[in-house]
Amino acid sequence: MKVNDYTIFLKNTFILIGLLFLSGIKIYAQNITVEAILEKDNMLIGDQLVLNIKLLKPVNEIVEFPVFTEKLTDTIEIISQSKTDTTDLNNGSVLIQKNLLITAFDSGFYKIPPIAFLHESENSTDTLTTKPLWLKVNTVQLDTTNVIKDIKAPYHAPISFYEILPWALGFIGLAIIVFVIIYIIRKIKRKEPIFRRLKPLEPAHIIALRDLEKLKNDKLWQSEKIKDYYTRLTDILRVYLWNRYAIRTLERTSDEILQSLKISDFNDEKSFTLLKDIFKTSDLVKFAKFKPLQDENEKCLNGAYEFVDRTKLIIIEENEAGEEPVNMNNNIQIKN
Amino acid sequence: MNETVDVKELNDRIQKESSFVDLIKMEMGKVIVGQKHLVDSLLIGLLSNGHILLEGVPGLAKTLAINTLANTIDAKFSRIQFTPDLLPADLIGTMIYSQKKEEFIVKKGPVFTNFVLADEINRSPAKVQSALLEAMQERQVTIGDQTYQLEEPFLVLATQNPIEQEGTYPLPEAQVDRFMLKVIVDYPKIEEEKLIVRQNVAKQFPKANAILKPQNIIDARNVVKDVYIDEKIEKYILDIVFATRFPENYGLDKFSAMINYGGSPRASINLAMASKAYAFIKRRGYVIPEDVRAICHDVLRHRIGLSYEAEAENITTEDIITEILNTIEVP
Repeated sequence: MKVNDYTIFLKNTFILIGLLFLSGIKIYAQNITVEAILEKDNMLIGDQLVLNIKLLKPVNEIVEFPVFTEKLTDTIEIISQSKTDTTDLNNGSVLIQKNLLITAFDSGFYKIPPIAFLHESENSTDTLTTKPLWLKVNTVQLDTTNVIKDIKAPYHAPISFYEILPWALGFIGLAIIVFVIIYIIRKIKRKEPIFRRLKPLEPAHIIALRDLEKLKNDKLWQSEKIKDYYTRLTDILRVYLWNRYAIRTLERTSDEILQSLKISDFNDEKSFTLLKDIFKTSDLVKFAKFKPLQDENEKCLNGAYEFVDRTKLIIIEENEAGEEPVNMNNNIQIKN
Repeated sequence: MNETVDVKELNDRIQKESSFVDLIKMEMGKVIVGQKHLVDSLLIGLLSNGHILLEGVPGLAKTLAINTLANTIDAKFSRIQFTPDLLPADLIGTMIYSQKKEEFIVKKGPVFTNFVLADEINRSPAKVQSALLEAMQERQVTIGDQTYQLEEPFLVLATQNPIEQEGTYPLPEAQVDRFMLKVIVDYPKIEEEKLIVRQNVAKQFPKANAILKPQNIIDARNVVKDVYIDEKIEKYILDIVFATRFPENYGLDKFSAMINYGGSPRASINLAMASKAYAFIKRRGYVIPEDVRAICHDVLRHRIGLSYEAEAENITTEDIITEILNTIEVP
């Protein structure tokens, strides 16, 4: 054989050996096969490849499948691992396999070392290994013929609805706060109550007059239930004042109620005196066991009727000429 | 309860018996400018046999007020400055050896008086506070083997400074509860302070005259007990006190987590007693809801224990009492 032929023979032999390595030759031991197969033997830098690891063994043999961490070698990283898949081949053997998604960030020709499986038999423990594999990691080829271009700015992803949502809610919230502040300022300037009281279905005086009529018919003081009589009488008036003037009366004492009326521009002196007298007598009856004369009981009831009548809210339609009626007691409301 | 209370007869009696109230107020007004609430509180304590805890910064006429009250009643007055090194014996007295008599004799302490001003009570340790509080509760003092009854009227006014809390011994809740009223003494108004300055720079400082004897106060206390308190008012008082214990039952759920403990039965008793005394100084023979509301803060503010939640929310006992009064229906 000539030297040239010999060189060609050696070269072919090495290529054959290399191909054998790359194809991941199966390793056999007592009908146990371990195998590692690369999806491709080369890839672009940063690209990802699947490394398939197989173990074929009899059902009753104990072989420990290797556990992988984050890296296969210093340069080859494992991005993810599939679950270990076990398939019963129904011939007394099982096939266990696992896929590793690997990558490398340095160009070069790398060796994937043999992967070891521990086989435990009755008397000893053997190590089965796959054949080493070779992986070529190519770098990006530079096109030097083209002109140098600027670095591209980062791409902007389209704005999603969920990104806009907090801003939209914040804007709506801010708008509500501004609206409420303007509303409160306007109400304060106009000297109107900030929160509008829900009007009862019936006017306050209708409710009060009906309750007073019922109190009259119940004839409480005639049957010596004087305290109950005055308690109900004052309760009717307190509820009436709450419905009519939005003054908190149930949690206030007689003096505090009268004081609140004064503050709220209640300027009907006669009505005020009527109410004051009723409260005074009622307090004496309720808290001092005072027993008024029959005349006083009737006087208080009539006083309550008169108070409600003098202070009831009258709603009238505005006439065509637009003339406003004279409102002496602040109890006329003009409806347009 | 007397079922045949005649309001006219009762009012006439109270009008007659309480006439000295105006005289005391007039005499105290000669010396004390403003501080009407303080003067009213002193009278309530005096007439209902209850002790008072005063809280206010120095210089608000706390000492002068009680001194003047003692002068108007011709009663004995002691002022004890509580300091960290004060001993119980400095307060109640002790046994000392008399070389002349060759035996131990009792040396009574400053607590043997009618009016005691315990100045800055929280500056002394617990054993001294306890000695005074026992005297307040039992109205007697034991020195050696001998027990001595304290003179009537016996009124303790303790003061606390709301500032400078370092190195103090805050009164435990159980002991604070023994004070009928906790009165917050505030600064005078500008017009009042102008008068105070004028009064103090004048050549002669006014002096209150003695117009009553201690016995008159003891008699007045019996009349105060006769002031009529209706069942409706009693229910109102109980509703207020129970609202401090179970606020959720009165629509005040927001306070449930803020109150650790509410007013004790002693709170209810003192609220009723103080209401009667307030009605008396208003020269009325019966209690009305206004009386209860007028003294409610003073009676309850030191009897409500706040939780950390309340402190974090800056909620005070004043806020809670005000809200309770604004929620409970007045009879």
